Amino acid sequence: MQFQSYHPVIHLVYFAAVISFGLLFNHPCFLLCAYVCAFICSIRIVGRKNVIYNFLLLLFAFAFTVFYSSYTHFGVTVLTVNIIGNRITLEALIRGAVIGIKAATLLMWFNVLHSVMTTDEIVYLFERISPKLSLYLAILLRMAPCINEERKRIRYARRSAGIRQNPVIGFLSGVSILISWSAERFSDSADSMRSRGYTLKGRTAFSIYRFDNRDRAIVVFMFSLITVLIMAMILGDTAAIYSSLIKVTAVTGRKLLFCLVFVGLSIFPCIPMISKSDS
Amino acid sequence: MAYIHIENLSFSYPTNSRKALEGINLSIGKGEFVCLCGTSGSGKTTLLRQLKPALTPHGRKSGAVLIDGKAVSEYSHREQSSMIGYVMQDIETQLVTDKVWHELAFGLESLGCEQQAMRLRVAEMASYFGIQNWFHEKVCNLSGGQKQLLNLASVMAMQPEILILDEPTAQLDPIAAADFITTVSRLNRDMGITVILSEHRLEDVIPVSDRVVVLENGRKVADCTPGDIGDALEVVGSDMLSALPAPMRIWRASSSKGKCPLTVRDGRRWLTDSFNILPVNSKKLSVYSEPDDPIIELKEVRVRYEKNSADILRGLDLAVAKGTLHAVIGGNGSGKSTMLKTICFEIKPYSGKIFIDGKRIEKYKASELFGELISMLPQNPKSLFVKKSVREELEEMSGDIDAVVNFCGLENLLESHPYDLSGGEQQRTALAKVLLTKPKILLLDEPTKGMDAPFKRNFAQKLRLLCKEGVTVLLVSHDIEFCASYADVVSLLFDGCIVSTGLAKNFFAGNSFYTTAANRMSRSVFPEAVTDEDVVEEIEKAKENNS
Repeated sequence: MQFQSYHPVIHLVYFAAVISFGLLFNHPCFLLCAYVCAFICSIRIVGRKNVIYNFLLLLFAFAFTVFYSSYTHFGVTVLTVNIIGNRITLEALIRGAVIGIKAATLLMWFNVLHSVMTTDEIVYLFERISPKLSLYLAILLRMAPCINEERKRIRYARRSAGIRQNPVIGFLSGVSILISWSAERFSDSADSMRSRGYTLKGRTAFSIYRFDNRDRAIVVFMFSLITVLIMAMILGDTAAIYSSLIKVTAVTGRKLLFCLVFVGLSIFPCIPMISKSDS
Repeated sequence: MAYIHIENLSFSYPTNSRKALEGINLSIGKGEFVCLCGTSGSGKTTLLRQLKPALTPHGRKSGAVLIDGKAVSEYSHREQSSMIGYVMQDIETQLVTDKVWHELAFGLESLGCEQQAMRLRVAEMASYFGIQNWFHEKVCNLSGGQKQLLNLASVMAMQPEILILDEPTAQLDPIAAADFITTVSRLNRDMGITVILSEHRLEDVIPVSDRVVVLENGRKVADCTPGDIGDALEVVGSDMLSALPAPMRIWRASSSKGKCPLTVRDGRRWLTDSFNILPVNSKKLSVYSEPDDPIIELKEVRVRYEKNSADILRGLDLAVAKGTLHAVIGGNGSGKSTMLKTICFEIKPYSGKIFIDGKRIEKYKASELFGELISMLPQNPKSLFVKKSVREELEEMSGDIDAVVNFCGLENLLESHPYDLSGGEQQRTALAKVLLTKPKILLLDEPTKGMDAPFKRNFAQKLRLLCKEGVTVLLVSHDIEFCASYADVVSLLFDGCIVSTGLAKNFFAGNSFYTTAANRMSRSVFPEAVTDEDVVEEIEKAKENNS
């Protein structure tokens, strides 16, 4: 997948943009675009199996709508009255649906983010802040699975050596020995770090990523679209009000154009794939 | 002028009045490959750490360590970081970061190299050491051999002049260990890097080293070429004689004359030249037959870890007779550890049956199975320890502690913290703990890993004693020499099946690759000799016949 091979900074900008726009845009046109794009991206990038997950999310959005509308009763358009005598209003129903769809969209985006952003990329992004910080993160990422491994090893060793004990005491002594074990291990790692000059001043950070012309072009492309969308926000085209009264502005040509731009930004990770299969 | 010069170096740790090093004099020329050997606790690590100021322990030190005519402590931290590379024994803890590429770049990052320079160096190292294919891997997914190779590569990335390796192969299987030594020797040959390597498994190291230095109780007892080391050790009556490669041991034990063979090739030539090929006196060796009443029996056991993965054990059959020392040998990934896990019922086979003492394993309660019947000594004895002293560790169990302490020789260690013990001492403590459960079956997972030769012999004697008392010992190992010398029955595990089982002697005499060095060396002359003792005995006989 080509999108995965882009520079981590592009991933960062992309996800920051789609997630924050997903939160900020309220107009139904944009909500629909965001939902559809997130759906397509999650299937294209994460995998076909995600269809099931996405439909479950939709189900969850529907359930939330029902829940929300039966517990909140603002609005003027009464649809029906439920058994305990509360009004079910159209406004509450729509607001519930909007929140549900928004949440589903965000969860799909996070799903895509999880599959695209590897720990390497996160370590790299930290590196931009401070090489030491990213090193600590890398050390942590190494330690965590090791400690878990050791925990399993101790459990297996003690069980098969025929050591029986009270589970609570067993758990506590397990924790205590894992602490000693980690401390011991860390002092050895510290030796290895020191012997490779860890304490020297002026640490740099190696990166496996290169920011090339393709990445530059994509950054320019993304930022120009983001600028257009911010403009749309300033012009109020993305806003809508759902609480107490529903106020949705009419769909104009300009709005459709902005929608198109939004779709372009959200869907571009999937495009190279399509052109590839054409050729 | 020697490149590294150690003059009258003595050292003692603050907590111990005994000198860890005493009056060491040593000069090493540029580009030399020096093998430093000695039993554990002889001061190898202490000496090596004196050469790397960043790792030098605190303590009282006298004498001088000079590198290129300048005291080591006068080199700046930056200079010595890149100039002296140090690879430690523990494979896991040396690896600091989570990814292979990051580990390779670690030293260069410390030195503050430019991105472009780092890219080149990292690429160079990855290509030289053949790391490209796993460059993006997570460190925790690598095999032991790959991990140690990565340790070496990430030290070499800093382009050191001197490479110090402290028992780098102690935790590796024999094949990975031989590969690793070959790589180090290639570095020495191709780059002219000065190598100082400490080791107690000498088979692979002696043939490639220029010089062998032997330490004993903190003193240098021998310093000569590999060919003369046997004589030098004999003069001082060192324990290390038993650690020499098999050809050297046999040559010495048969008190032969001429040039001492260092490798199997030389040994073979020596034997075929000196002795006529005798007609095989085909006295029938006792044949192995399956035991009638096995204490452990596995019948077509099939195991897989995940639903869609391949089988790890593919219809494994095994029968272990009561009171025997049964060894299962096999390479990495052949399913040895999985087999033990199955016997411990840690993994349930999806088909096949396991009988322990004549009864299906499922029929036992966990409390019946472990402690009274089966007990396993884990590969890493540390996994068993949870207390603050050896005494508390043993008191955690019930039973006759004094007898076990006596048996395992722990009298002087009772108050020490288990983590402070040496590898061999930890092993003994763990064994004591396991024996306190009074098992009928003792399982051992790679027991000889990291043991030096004298301790191995001692350990084997303990196992033999246990067998005499009626305990059944089942061990898995890749240590062929150990199994050949001490096991009763040997099985070869390959690809999830037991390929063959036989009495240790017959088993190894029948193989041509997977057999002991003594057998490989002497098979054309004495086809039935498997251990060193066998070969020496045959030589004696042949000499008598000749005279």
